[in-house]
Amino acid sequence: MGRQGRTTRLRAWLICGLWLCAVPALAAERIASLNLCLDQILLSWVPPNNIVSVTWLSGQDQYRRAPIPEHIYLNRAQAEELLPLTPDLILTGQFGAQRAAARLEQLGFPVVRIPDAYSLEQLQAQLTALGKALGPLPQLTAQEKQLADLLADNPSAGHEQSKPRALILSANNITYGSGMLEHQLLTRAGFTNLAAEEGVNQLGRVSLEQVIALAPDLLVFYGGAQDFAIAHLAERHPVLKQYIASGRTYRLPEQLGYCPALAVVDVLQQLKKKRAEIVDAE
Amino acid sequence: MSDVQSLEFNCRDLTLTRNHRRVLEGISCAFRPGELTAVIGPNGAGKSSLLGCLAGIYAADTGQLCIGEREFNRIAAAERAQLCAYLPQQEAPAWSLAAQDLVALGLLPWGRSIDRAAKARRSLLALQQVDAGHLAARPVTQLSGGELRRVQLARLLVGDAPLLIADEPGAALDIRHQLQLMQTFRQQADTGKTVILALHDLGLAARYCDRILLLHNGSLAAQGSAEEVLTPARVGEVYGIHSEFRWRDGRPEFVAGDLL
Amino acid sequence: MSTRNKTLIAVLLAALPVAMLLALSSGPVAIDLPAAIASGWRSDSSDSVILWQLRLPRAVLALLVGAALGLGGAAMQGMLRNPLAEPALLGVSSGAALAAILVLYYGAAVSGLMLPLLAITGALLAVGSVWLLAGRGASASRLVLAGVAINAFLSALMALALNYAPSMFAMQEIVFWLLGSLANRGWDQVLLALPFIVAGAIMLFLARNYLRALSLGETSAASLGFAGRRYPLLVLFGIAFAVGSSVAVAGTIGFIGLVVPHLMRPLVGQDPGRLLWVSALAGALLLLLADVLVLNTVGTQELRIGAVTAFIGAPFFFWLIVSGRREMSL
Repeated sequence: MGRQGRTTRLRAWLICGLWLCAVPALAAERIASLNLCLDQILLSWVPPNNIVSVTWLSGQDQYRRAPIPEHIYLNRAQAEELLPLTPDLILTGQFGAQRAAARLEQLGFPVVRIPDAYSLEQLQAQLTALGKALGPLPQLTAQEKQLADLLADNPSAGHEQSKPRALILSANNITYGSGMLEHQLLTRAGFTNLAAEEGVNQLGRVSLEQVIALAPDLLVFYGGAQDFAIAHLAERHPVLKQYIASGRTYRLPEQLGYCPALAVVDVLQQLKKKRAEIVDAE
Repeated sequence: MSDVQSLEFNCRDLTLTRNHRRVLEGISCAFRPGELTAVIGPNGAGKSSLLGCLAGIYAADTGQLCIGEREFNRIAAAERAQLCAYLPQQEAPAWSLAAQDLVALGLLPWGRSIDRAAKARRSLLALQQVDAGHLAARPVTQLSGGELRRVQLARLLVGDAPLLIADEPGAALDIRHQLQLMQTFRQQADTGKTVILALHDLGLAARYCDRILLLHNGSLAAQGSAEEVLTPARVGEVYGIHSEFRWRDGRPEFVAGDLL
Repeated sequence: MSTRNKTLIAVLLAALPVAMLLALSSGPVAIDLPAAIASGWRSDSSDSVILWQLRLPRAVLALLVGAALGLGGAAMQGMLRNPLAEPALLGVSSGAALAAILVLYYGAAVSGLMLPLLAITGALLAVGSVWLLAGRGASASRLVLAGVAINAFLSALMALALNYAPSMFAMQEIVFWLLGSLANRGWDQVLLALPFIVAGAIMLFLARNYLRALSLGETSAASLGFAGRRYPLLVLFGIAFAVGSSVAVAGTIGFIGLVVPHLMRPLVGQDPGRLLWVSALAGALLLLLADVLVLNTVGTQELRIGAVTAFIGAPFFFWLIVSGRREMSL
């Protein structure tokens, strides 16, 4: 018993020491966020003890990935909520909660605006900005490196002839054309985005008829369809049964839409795998 | 008019409650084929309630209603409607049907057993019977009150039911058409039908009807021939007016006088 | 029925296949229609999949829902003896929509048949409350008042239910439930609604003579052999089945039930019985044509079909009010 207790204590010390080494230069001790995506980044990458507040949205079932520690205050983006928490770093996005951010800035709190990311380039800029604000977090740097690696491995050069065609069918028959992050991911993974081919810039609509007529090799859904909504009626239509049955579908995670920083690497890897499957099948 | 069934209509000890108020109390009477019966009484005496009961619109609380040998309530609704035609005091048509089509509704209880052409023919005949043949194609919403009443009367007659019940049939009619109406009912009774009318005009009742039922506060105050019922004392008691009943050229005549 | 009216009804009938062809050739993708028809139901070519799996069910659903709404409107006007009665106006559709919302957004586990069944129950409760609240033989104003009150209450409940629904899209979908849509519908929705619409139509068919007798009022109808609760219940259930199941699959599409019986009434000599079938026919035609209009003008940008029918219906309603004031017939 005694020996075991000693090893445990030793291990605890070791972990503590590792923590101290790994997070040598966390720029702030009491971080608050006024933005859903930044909430998620903080919750995933920063030790919970250093977070004082995230937005209430992160506490909603829909966005919560793990239980939020009790000491973290769920704010509704009001300046007076954050005052008593005395944060030493407040993160906010480019849009939303601007009044609260301005107010807090006036009161002398350090507010940092992290740019939103709607493309891979912007995503890199976002990660850089985060690195500057939070210091060199291990997961942040890892993510930056992974992203850079994935982007460097550009398959579009080599596989001109075997480029499977993909089409995104999101809620309410929305599709993603050129200029969107989702389009970049598809093309980076070695697909042709049919929506972009059809001249859709940014967002567009695609009817089921067009889906059938275009006959993509991969039909990409977007977001969770577990809760009923008329918006998801298209993807439940029996005409798409053969796509689903033959596995020629992929579902982009909802998180990609509101916080790509956490989802991009996984999505890109999965899409590449999917592409390989389709090319092999041919 | 053929195939008239002659049926005696009996009610025994009828009571009826409507809107938490006892409107009929222990009414017992008989209506015989070939007889024209007038139900009279002041406003609120229960005339319409009695007629409604007889026509099967209201279900009596207690009492018995028999047509011939059969209990009225045991007869299937459609057959009952074939036996007994009823015209309520007010009947506003909801749609602007042609008069002839409205009359044809009186043949609904027969369903498909009468074909469409026969229905049209009989409706037209019924209209002619009440001096309204010329109105056949007119939309009923464009008719005057009196014209509409005659069309409705044709609707009552079109089925040739052995039992005819009409509530204030002459209310909206001019004097000529009132007389014509009473003559029509008289003829119907003479062919062996049982005819029951609620009337306000005691003069018409006295002149045309074989029997009179006088209702007062939901009870039967008197029944019998006009001479037996319309005595000055009883009319005075029920209506609160002076009156006179006399015979003139062999015809009964009722003359209302001043208020008591 | 005059020969002119017979001809007009024949024209409506003849217009149905024409409208059907129009609907089948309308869509965002140009297809070779004859080839798609010739290649048959089972063909895998994209043209025939588009025709048989996408356009045909949508057109059939438009016909079905339009017929159900026309039928429901005609029956409701006949039952309430009132030309202002309309399922969407008086809250019947909202009752169905509310029930459908509760099933779809909250009861994911329930089986498919529960959707139309509960929608029918919702419609039944709403039409029953209008009937009770207004009182039988109520005046037009009293009836519309009761209906509007029930409709407003149910619409508020719909908004509330959608507000708390787990799906992110729920709140924006109030538009769908209030205006209806035929987009992205397939054979599954057709099969879901069809048996119930047919059942409703059969009930109303059995009640046609009651509706005729009701032209004379409740008392006279009772004296003509239509006494008791059986017939009103038959009509109430018929309306609820037809309207409820179509709302469950296509949302609330208004004004068809109002406009169609009105336009058709003169053609059948105002007969409330024959009005049922002619209204079903014309309702089907009108909704199909409205859908053709939607497909050809706005395409996938999907203007809700209820907005189109409202565009047709609302001016008609104004006209009805104005002409009613003049003629006193309302």
